[in-house]
Amino acid sequence: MITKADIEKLAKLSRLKLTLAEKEKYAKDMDNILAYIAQINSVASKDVKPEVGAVRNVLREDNSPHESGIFTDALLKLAPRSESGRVKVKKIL
Amino acid sequence: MAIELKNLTIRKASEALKRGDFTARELAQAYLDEIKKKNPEINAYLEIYDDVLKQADEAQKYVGLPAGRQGKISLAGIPLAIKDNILIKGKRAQSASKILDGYVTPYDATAIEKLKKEHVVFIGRANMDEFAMGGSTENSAFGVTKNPHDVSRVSGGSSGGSAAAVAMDGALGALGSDTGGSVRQPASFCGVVGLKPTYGSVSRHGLMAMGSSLDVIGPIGKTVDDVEILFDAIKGKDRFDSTSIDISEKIAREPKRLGVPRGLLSGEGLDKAVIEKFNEALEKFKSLGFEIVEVDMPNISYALAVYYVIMPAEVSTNLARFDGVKYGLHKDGENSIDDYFETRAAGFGAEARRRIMLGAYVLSSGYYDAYYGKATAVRELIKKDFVKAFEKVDLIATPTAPGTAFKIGEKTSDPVSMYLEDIFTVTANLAGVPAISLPFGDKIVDGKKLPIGIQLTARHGEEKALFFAGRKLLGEK
Repeated sequence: MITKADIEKLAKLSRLKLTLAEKEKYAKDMDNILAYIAQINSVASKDVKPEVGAVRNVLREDNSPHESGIFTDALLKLAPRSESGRVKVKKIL
Repeated sequence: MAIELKNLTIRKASEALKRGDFTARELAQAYLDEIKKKNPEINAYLEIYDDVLKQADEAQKYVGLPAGRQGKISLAGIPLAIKDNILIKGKRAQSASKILDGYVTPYDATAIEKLKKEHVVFIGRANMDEFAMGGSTENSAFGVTKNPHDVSRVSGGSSGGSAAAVAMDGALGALGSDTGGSVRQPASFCGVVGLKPTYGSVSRHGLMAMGSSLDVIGPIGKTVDDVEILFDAIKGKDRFDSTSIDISEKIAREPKRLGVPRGLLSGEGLDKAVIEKFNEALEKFKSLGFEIVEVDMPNISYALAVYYVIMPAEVSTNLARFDGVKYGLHKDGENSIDDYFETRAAGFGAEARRRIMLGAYVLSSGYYDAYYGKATAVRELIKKDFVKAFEKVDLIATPTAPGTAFKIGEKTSDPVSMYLEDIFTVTANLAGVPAISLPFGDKIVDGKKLPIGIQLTARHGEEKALFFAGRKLLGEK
């Protein structure tokens, strides 16, 4: 049973501000969804080993990077707040 | 000259452009005119680009020239709709979410880059469920996309805008994305063809991530032929997506044996009209020389439950990046962390929040093994079910969706009833195999014809088997 307190904890972990009505609605929704999901527990899967598929990590070695700064302007332009070549946030400490 | 759009296909349009029957500009204008008439009601497009005619004029220079890829049909001047979660450089894209308000994309998705090399014309961005989460486009922050066959009903989702754009003659083809059925189910509801390719066969670079182990970009068109043409244009290994792969151009032999998982088709909530059409399709396949074989896939009935653990887990991770710092919406709070809470509360819709929290739950310490660990193990069993079935058969057939397009608002209050829409489609995403939805007849409700879709699933990389059988079923050459 998912309580309002559970939802508050999940909302905090998820960085979501919720209204009281939302918390109650989500608690009920989550109960229904988890009840549906619970059927996977009836599957015997103790000895299942994941198979290695055709998909491989193909990341390049961490050398010869692109020229520093060539994407900075294009990406910084998207940030809601920036200042002298940096993303700007509020003071943290 | 008025261009007849209703029966126009990508292949026919390409040939007509080459012959000079009409120009790329005339073709684009014909689509813009149709969109102007229909889009205010249907809401398939969130935005029509202001440079469509300019794109068409540029494309005209390449009409009649051989396509870049040998032996392929030219796509120069072909008007396409693009789902709002696929990036076109310099255009807006926001996954129908308020949290990406004002976002202008800094680069092209690989699929888009490939289409640009073919000189297609991008008409605009297509509506969708927010961040591709939903089966009806009712989760769009910009209103539902209505079904062109009956405007009191949904177009399906999440790629509902893409499917409706093609169905209402607002584009010759479209790109959508499919994480659990988001290309195939709206294709089924709108009476068009939709392909969910093999996982990795189309690069995810430039596709906004939802469930990264499930997501794939897929084409929508009026015919199997058109869908194959678009798929051939966008597929291929890409250095920007480490999970991308090349798949072969040919299949070893023509598919002959068609498997039917009868166990999955006995559940309640399955529309009788859908089952009747499905059985009719099987009869047609038989008359076309296919052999129908029953296959036992004991674990696929758990696919939806598994999906609703793995997908939200990946969603909660992927959507963590939207924090009001790097892009899109920013709402001020009392301090830095409060900015996140305020921004995400204002930016995410109800379903996005639900799935983010569900994902946080199944990944929490204490629940991780019981949910995520267990779901991952059952996913492996589902993959094995497919491997075993494909030893016996070449294709697996099911309906695409349990019913036809439902009424707007019918399922919004109960998330689980909405999730059940995906029951036949999620299996292919979990296993990574390709699947196609083919329009096969309809059901008449209140005097409106509601399309029904048949789904075929094939082995990894065997899209060509889907195209072969799909052409046969639909009577295409």
